[in-house]
Amino acid sequence: MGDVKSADAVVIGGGARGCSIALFLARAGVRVVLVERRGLADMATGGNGAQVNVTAKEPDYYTAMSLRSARMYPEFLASLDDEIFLQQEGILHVTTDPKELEGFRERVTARNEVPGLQCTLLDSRQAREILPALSPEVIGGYMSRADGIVDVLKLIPAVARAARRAGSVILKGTEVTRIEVAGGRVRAVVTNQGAIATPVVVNAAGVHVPHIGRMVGVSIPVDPEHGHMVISQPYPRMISIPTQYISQWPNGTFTIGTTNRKAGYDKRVRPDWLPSFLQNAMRILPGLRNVGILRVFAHLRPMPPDRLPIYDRAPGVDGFYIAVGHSGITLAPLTGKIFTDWIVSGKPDMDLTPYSLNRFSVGSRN
Amino acid sequence: MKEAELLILGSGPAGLAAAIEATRAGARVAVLDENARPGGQIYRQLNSGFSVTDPDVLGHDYERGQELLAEFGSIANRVEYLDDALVWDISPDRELAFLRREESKSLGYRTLIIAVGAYDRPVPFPGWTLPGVFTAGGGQRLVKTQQVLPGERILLAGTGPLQLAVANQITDAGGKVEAIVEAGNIDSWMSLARGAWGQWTLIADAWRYWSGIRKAGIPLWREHIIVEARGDGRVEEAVVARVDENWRPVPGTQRTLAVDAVCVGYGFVPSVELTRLAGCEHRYEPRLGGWVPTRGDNMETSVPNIYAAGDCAGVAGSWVAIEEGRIAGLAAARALGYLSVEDAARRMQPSRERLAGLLRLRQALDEISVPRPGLYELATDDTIVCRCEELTLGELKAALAEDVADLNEVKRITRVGMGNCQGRMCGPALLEILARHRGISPADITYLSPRPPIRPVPMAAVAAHRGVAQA
Repeated sequence: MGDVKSADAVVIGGGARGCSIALFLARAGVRVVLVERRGLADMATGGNGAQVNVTAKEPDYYTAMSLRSARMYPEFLASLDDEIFLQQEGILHVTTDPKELEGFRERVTARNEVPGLQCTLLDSRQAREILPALSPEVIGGYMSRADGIVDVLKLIPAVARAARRAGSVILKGTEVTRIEVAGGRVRAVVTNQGAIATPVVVNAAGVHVPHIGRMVGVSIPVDPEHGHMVISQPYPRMISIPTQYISQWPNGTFTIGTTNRKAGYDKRVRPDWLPSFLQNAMRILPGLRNVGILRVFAHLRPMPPDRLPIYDRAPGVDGFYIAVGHSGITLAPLTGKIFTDWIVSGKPDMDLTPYSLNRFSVGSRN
Repeated sequence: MKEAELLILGSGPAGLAAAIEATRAGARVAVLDENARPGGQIYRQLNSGFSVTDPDVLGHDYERGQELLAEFGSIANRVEYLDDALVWDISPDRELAFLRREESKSLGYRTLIIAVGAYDRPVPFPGWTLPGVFTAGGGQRLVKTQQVLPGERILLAGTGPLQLAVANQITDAGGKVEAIVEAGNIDSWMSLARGAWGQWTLIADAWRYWSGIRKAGIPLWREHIIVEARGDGRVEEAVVARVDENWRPVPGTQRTLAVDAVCVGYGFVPSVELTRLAGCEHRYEPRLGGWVPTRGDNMETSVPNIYAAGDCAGVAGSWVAIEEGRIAGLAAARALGYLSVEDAARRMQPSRERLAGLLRLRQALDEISVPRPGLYELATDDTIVCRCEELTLGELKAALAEDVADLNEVKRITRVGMGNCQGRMCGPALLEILARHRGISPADITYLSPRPPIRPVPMAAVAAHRGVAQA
């Protein structure tokens, strides 16, 4: 660790949220240290479908929050030192089921109530005009150009480099073992590489947020949700924009997600869970039948009980911030801004009531 | 079949030997092998359509292979043998997934013997991606099973006895070997000769290979390695140089040879994807080829009821593989209750004695084949290290300059190991590069995380995968 003995803020966790918060804090002149247990993007951030997704979010305030963050993406990327692939031309959600199509109709109506969001219902012909490779069984769908995909694996190191350039210290292979609290406030973060005195801690540790929370006596309800990700061999261009959880990247490979199951912290692949979602993928895109699977892995999504983020400060522990949820990719830029404004000026720039810890009636000190 | 009592993966020397012993002890054995016919790499049988008119071309291993295959043949009707079966995943809860004839299924097992062998060590050097550069194993396979010569003016470069065998096979098949360059020096070869003392068949083989090379007038240059392959779109020249005892080129000793094919053989790397996926403990042993599963003397790994035998648990050649396979087969049969402890020990005794007899030879072979530091210094910044993603050493070094935590982070940042080979070709070199960069031992580096499928499998097959309940 060398000479890092103190900081204005310590961010715990080198995923999308942690790295973005470290970047925004550093750019605001805050002496920030990010501590990451292993390497950056080690857990959920490094293993997801890389979507910047607005239309999958509800209720409307969460959709609006996601839209705001999605809109920040071009400028966010332009401020980094590398060309990072971002496509914001929509994700085509489709169905082969009339009942589901009805549900899409209602969803599109709801989404279009969110200011600035334009979502379109599509019939079968329109959907197949956009993606000719769709199966004739597809009876319709919806999409919005607010949705897209980004090259996460290139993004995270670029964010980290920018954070370092702005003055952030990033420590990898550094695991937090204890957090010292005295007089009702955070004093220091103790790691396997030494201690850092700090008045502010941001708990952005993904599925390990509860573990870090327990260090200051705060109970944070986040469960790991197991999701498979299938990576294919490269294949000639089949789809120009993603559909469902199927994306085809510039190098021709497909990423196909995903399953949602609770499996504790066990990230093992379960071959038995793969058939149903692969069959759905192949039903929508029959051409996938000929594609080879190169790799399958699972990520663990940090999932609060109502599937909304927890962006809050711990009750009874001054200086302890919590930044967790799934969809860290979509919310990365906005999350960086929210926590920086909060830490620097004392208030976040938006109403975070829906994302508070006490909405679960837990979070009290043990 | 939903569950196998004793499942063996691989039907090379170790797998066949295990199947033979276990079946003779009364166990119900099932064998899965990727290939169309048993024999593995060393006893690779010809595809039907070829017939053997001159066994000498195939070498003495072919003869010995025939003996073992015949022994297997005598019990084969009691064995459930699944050919063309690719095991693509394995879990610690006694289940694996395999692909066969485009169908993917799960299979449970009570005991498992993993005998999946090793693969040619990939060594990046300038020009190694040019058409015409083969691995020694790949070149041998071309000659043995496809009856095709790698080229018309062939250079063999590497270390160890395999090159001598390949040189003879090429010559017997009518090909021309321009030269053999051997990295090792005369001392290590002398110690190999001493280690082989008592192994008369091996010595006879070696003598035969040696005479064959002399008779064909093939120059053998010890203490030399290939430092570059050159050519316009294919190999046209090879540059070789003399090396010191660390295999580092000595300045001013370079020579250029006109060749159109190079077979590079620097030993083998154990295939440990399955043992890693199964959760077995591994340790780093450069003398055995790299990461190997830890085992007790009955070949059991750290996971109860999973055994590993042969080159996949440490490269030691077919003779050792056979004895390890016999021991593993007997140990598994005993664990299933088919043999008493005493009976199993008695049956294992000849194999243990043979292994002891081979120990000195093995130690000498290890000494010869362990890669020396110079080998991983051949690549220049322009040399491609990750062939699938076309990443050069320079690009990898730039990523390392960013302070990476482990190989998995290097992979996320550069995409190294994300291509078709999923790290098999670049992994061993990547480990050395990172170790050098950090000034630490490769043993202290967390290797790339294992992920299924261990080879690409068709999506349609996995989408129709039948679990154990449905199999």
